[in-house]
Amino acid sequence: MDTAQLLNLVTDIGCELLENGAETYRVEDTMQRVFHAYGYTDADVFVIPTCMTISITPSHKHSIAKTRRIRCRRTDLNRVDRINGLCREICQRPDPPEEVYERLRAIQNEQRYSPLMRTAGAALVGFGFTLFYGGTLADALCAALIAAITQFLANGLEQLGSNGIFVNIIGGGLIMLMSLFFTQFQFNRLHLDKIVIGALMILVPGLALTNSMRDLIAGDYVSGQARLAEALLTATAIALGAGVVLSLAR
Amino acid sequence: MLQFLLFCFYAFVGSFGYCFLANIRPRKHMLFFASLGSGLCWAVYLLFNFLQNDILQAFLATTALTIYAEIMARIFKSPATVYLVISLIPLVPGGGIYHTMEHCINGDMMAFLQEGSHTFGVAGALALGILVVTSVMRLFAAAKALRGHHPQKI
Repeated sequence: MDTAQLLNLVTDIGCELLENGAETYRVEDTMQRVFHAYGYTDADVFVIPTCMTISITPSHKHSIAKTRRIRCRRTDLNRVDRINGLCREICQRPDPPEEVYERLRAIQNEQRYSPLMRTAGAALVGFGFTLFYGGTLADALCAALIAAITQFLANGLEQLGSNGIFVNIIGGGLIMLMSLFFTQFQFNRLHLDKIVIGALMILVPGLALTNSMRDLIAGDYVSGQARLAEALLTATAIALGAGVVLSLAR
Repeated sequence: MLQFLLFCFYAFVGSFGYCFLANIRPRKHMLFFASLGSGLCWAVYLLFNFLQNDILQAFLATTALTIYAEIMARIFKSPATVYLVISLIPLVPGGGIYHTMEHCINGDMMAFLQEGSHTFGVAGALALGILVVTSVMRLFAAAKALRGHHPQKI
């Protein structure tokens, strides 16, 4: 088996995990396990949220290394689970890399939810959490509409490659603006705070917070801090966007 | 009692919507069990209502839901993060962030600092809950590895 080919395969697997929201520990561990499964016991992997470095030593005369810069990051937990499953299979039965590549491609080509479905999901988030925070049914319907519109625009911004912080500032501001607009009419006595909080739930940094904790526990302090900073910045960005609009409206 | 179940159901509905944003598919019943976690964690939160301390309640709820996520991960052989991320959403102090911002806009510095530190407290409780359970799980995995089994994935 070609060492370079294996290196490329493992890099692709790791990259796919990291880009879709797996913890640092899982990425490093998975890559190491795959190398072990193919008989390369002397492999070292270093992963941080924006970059990974892999080196293997096939013989004591030479070693090869590869660096992959990670630029796009998103949340696709289905794919994380699929690749996790694929690696379990590899560890049990190391098939030739070409075959594994084919399965990896099949996973990469799997359909994600369409923008329409994600918009509907956002509406459900707004609806559920407004009721959850004690809003009335009218509040909840309002929040569902606002969340859906915001998600629709956020989808567009993400496709244009806009950064996460900007999307959150715009999203926070937009939610506040639309909520103020709806409450201005005072149909059925809408509650501004309940609508805003419910609709803002589509933007909260749940994954960044969870992963930063799991990274810190695993001893990956660099990744843990980076993700903690991401979570705090996201929360600040949301509050900033909403705050600017609210203070302008007053 | 009805009120109790109703709020857990709202948490379930909201988290179910969030699954679509995180691209969780119906495969392996993930869609259902991930959202169920949030309903359960809110039930735990409300069960400890007599403590009258929402930071402690948030900690206990997170502990319960991390255990739930680890169990689900073992049953369905999928990463615990999948369940954890979705189930944690109702506990994220969205209301706290909003009110902190509101006090800041109103120029009420005392209320701003009070609400802000309280929100930090809740977020810290979530972190601590995950930390405690995951650390214990890692101990179990390490103990298993010592006895000659393969190390379990966390």
